[in-house]
Amino acid sequence: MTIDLAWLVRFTVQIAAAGVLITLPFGVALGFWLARTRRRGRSIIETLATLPLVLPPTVVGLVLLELFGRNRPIGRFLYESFGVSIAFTWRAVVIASAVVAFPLLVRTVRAAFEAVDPRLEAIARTLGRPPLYVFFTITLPLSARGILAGVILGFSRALGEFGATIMVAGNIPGETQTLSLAIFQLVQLGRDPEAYRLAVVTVLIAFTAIFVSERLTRSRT
Amino acid sequence: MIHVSVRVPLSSFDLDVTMDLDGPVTAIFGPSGVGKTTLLETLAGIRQPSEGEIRFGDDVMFSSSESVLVPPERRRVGFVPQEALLFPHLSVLRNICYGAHGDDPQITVDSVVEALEIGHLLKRDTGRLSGGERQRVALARALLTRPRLLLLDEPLAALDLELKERILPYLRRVRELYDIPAIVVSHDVFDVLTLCDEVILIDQGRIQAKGSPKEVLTQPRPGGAFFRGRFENVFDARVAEQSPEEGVTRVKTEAGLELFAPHREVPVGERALVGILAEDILLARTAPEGLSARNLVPGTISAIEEREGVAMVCVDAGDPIYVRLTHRAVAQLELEHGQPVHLIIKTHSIHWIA
Repeated sequence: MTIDLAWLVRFTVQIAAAGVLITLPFGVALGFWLARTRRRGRSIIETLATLPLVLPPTVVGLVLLELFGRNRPIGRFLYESFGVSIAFTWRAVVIASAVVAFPLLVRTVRAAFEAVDPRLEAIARTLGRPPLYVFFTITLPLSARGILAGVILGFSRALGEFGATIMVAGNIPGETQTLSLAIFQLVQLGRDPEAYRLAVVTVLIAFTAIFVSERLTRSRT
Repeated sequence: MIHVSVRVPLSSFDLDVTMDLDGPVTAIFGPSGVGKTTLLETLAGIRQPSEGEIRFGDDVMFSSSESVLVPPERRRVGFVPQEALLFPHLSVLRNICYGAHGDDPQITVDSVVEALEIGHLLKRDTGRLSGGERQRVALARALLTRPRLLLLDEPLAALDLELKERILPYLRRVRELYDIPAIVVSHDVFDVLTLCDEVILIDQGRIQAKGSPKEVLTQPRPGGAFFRGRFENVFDARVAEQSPEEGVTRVKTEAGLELFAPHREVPVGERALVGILAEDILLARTAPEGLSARNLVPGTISAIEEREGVAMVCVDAGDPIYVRLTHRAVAQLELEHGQPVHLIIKTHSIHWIA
């Protein structure tokens, strides 16, 4: 196995970014709902949304495999209708990233929305603006920093994703292998110095992401 | 005309109110926490009554029997909340234009900005505004939606503001410039007396009295805001004489009461609205001599109300003037109904409202 560092970094970052961006609309919608609703189902939904955060990633991977495997309901449907395979392709890596990033995104986004005074939204409506307009012109801008922080947190989590990915996407160099999977494989092959090199790169990426997120949420608040 | 008959459950009691407002400006007053703000929120549509009906003219806004609930964005109501609630991420200009729509030649951005004197603030962040400025911006924001009804929640509550900060002159101007019916909520009716045509007293979620300001104010009032608040005598007068070199402007009310106010550059014959706090007036049984105060007003005591050591003495001097005294002063001067007295008012105790 030869290590193409540039490819690995680009692939890993792209996968993590794609995973977070896919979850973003759902995370924002669910986060807003959780921040504003007072219905009874709230805690159940919130618990379910948090579950991927605490479950062993292997369990998450197993569930995904159960859904997206080629002989499983969603996987078969996608393959037979569109000829698209999920399991053991880069698509599965994106899905695994999305699933593990989701809880962090939702929780951060919910906190950001809760910090917006709902009376501002009420006033905006008395000024003749419908709820969706108010959401995009008042609620969203006022919580933008928090949402961005959630995105970066989710992105960082997706960067280091290992367990679910290896279950549902395998560890195929040049196809589904991310930085963390490559490190695992290098150690197994006894190529520790190379593993350390990748570890340092991973730390740098994660550090940058978290640092930027901290700076964004700190300043001006 | 606005018809309201609603029940709104609150934590300790229900707001249960039935009223027809003829306006154009109605003051709703009563102590804090009796449901005044709730009533405004219900009219604005951001709080839903459990039952009842709300109509603006012929348009039904809410009806529990007909299952109608018009959302706030389609009510055309301009709500100015107590804390102004400006949008913190938008500049002042973008705040006031947030809900602006339609082409009313009367209510333009320029005219509202000029009337409320906020032109110099337009580019600012809302975080760097004083309390009075925030209120004016919130008022401009509501006006520019061309509302058919203005709702003002305690516009004068922040009255520890300096005189120049007070919003009352601006409210009067808005009333004169734009023909928009308004409901003004206040815990102290005297604040809005010069503004409203109709007063509703509300307490514990119920209407206690309704009528013209005079009718409601001459009724015995529960609560006693009269005694606790800073009562301001307000005179609707005209400028009678200017003498800038002496530092005074003489004003005269329709009833013939003449006062020397601090000089202000207003043409003779123009309207002058001046105020005197009841506690800033001295009362003497006989005409004193050699005083520096320029206003010595003779009159007759027409009423004395006392509560908890505080007395409000009403003196008929053409216009009624309320003087705030201690019970001790009333007792020692042996003041009584029908007695002739003299009021002593320093020029600088008189201030210009508009």
